Amino acid sequence: MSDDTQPIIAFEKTNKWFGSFQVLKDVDLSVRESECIVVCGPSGSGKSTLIRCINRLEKHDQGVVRVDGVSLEPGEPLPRELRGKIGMVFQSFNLFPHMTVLRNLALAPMRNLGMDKEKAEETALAYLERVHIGDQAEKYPDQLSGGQQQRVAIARALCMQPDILLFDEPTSSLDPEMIREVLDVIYELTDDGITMVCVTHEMGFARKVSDRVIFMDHGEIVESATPDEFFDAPREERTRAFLNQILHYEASA
Amino acid sequence: MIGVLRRPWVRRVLSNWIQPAAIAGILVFAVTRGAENINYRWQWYRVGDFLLTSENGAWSAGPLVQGLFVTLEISILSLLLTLVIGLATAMLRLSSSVIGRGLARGYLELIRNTPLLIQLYVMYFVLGPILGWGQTTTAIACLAAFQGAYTSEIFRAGLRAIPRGQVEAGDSLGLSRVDNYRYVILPQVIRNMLPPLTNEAVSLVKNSSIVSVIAIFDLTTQGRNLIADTFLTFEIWLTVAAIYLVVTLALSTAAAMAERRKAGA
Amino acid sequence: MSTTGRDSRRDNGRVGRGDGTPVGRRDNGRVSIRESTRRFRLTRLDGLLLVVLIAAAGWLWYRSAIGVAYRWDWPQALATVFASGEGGDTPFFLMGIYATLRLSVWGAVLATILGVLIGVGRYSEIRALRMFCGTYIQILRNIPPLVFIFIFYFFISSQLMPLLGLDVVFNRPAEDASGWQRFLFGPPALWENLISGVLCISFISAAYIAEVVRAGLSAIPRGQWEAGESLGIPVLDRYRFVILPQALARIASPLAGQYISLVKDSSIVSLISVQELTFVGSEIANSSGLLFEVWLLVAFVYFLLCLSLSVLLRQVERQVTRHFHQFA
Repeated sequence: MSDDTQPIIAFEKTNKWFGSFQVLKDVDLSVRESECIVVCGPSGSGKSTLIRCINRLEKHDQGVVRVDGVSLEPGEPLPRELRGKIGMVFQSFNLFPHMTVLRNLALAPMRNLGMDKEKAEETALAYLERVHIGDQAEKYPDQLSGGQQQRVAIARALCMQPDILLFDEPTSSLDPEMIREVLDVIYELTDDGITMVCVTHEMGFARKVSDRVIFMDHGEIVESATPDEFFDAPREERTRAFLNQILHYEASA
Repeated sequence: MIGVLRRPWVRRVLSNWIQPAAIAGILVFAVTRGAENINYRWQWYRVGDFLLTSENGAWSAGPLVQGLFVTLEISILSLLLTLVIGLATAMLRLSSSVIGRGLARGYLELIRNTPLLIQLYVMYFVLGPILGWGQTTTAIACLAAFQGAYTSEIFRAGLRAIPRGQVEAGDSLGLSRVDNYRYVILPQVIRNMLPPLTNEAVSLVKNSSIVSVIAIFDLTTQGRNLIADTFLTFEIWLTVAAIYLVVTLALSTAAAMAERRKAGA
Repeated sequence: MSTTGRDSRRDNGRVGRGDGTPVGRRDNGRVSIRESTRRFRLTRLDGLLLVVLIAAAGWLWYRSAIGVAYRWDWPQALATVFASGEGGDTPFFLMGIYATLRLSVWGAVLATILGVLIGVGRYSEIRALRMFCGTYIQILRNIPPLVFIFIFYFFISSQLMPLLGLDVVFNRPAEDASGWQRFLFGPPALWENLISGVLCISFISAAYIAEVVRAGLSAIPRGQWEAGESLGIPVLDRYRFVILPQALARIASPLAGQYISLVKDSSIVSLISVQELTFVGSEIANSSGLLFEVWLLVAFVYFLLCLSLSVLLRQVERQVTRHFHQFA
């Protein structure tokens, strides 16, 4: 665990290529403990790749990535001591379809932390209550709505009691009427002091929840500002263009 | 030193050329070494004559090429019959006729639950004599009856799965029912079925080799006869296998290309 | 042969129950144009088919009874087929059936092992291994099984057996074999014969099983691997609890089809003199001259074998897939 002076996540001059295409260009970023960061930007701008480099679903090619006090070399997979410390919530939920909701939640604590079944299920139920679906424990994922599935996924990540929670467009594959329930759950987590990095297009949510908004374009971090600055007085031309595009209807409505 | 191996171009050369070459090398080594162990004398130069022979400057097909023609002829004829049987079976299965569905069902179960070789024997020794069929007719009927059972599933799926949105779109545009089918529905259905139907053709070519057991002079029979005459076991079998491979891979490639065009369209 | 890999489609056959309701499947916005409707109402097509059927049956009877004047002799055929061998041994025909069963069981075991290895090998980090597995699948699926068997048999008998020292093992005196060995592998005199057959069919079948395994693995969304990884589940547990059950459920049906194909394909090893059902059948047919009866009987036995196997496998499949609503 890191002390207060040291950032919990740090990128320094980080580069990454997919073949000849550069997805991350000289990225510098540091995230303090308990901070909640929203990352936005057009599709293909490298937002997802950025957060996937944190839990090593992607590996960077150059530069430094430090997570939870551990320095990660280019190409290095997630070291053992970080396993389960960085939770992730995916766009497509990725619940295990062949297990009940309860078992989805209990599996990692049992296999990774060596918790016994009873304890793991107790923990699982507690977290299900926190995301307001304690009554769905015995169902299979495909019996739930999209919003419920995503809340299960959040609870599943929480069961490992991670230091960091990453969200990769958690509401992008949801029907509009379900987006709210998921965002509410995420909002409630900010009280816990867990460090969160969230890739999302929900600008209202970004404004209300985040401590800092990051705007990425073409693999670069273009702007990093507090939500008020970001939305009311963006410094960069590219940021303004982007906001103009996505806020067009909200603004004129 | 290890660092060199990490360079992109070095890795590309390694993976694209060196590794396949190594596999090929090992295989060739294993085969020749194995052949040496039994004092096998390779005589590849004799194989050419079995493909093409020239007499007095005039080229003519050697036994293997003649066999290939027979194989292709049988495959094509049975493919045509396969399409008829497959479509008829599919329509019977989707029909409202009790007897029709039962008939189709019985035929499918019979074909799927017995070996092709046994079907061929039964046709050749039992049905053929009763109906007065010759070898070639028996062979074609047998292959088509076998493949037809599998092909009928393709037709059935194709007939059942017509995109509803497309029908509705055509209707809402005011196309007549006939025009809707002709310009919108059928082209899609046929395009969906073409790649799997090409795969049926591949299966037919492959399966046709089994007719060699009833003395039809197809590629496989020609190969067996040549081996009996010349004892060039490895050379001839490998050549025969290569010829089959060329034909089936060409068809598969065509199917894959059709699939890609479909996906791209 | 029937190793078309396409037997997996047999499950489509389970859909139409003809009970008047369109069968509830997820059909992705596609509509079945004509689902069979009422149960018992004869249509004009029924009448037509009935006439055709009766005419065909009559024609067949006429041709066989009068045209070729075949004298059916079922009692004689059954007596020949089930006659004990010299010295009261098991009837030759039954030995053929047992041999086919042994061939199928051992063939299936070996083919599954090889097939899974090759199928997983398609995902190897090592390019050479990946390519080798790909080439194996590609070649075996694209040349006629018959041609493969002739090549491979020549190779086995001249190379593999001496190389592995199996010729010594299999040529030892028959008295050494214990009861259970005879039960599992048949009479020792035919062990070499059996193993040739097993190797041939399992090498062919392995290519098809490998393809099934590869397709099953590739059908599992990347997100499942990533979710397991991000939750910190150890690698082996990830395979065991997350990937394997899902892969099994996806491949259960096509795999069952492959096993049935394997039983059917085992008939072609009769052509390299492996003494299984087809081989035995042709011996009896030729020696007794009762061609019609014997071949129909052989076909019937295969039919029973495959049908009962498919019923059995369907039960197993149902067990494996019971939690998978979306694959049902």
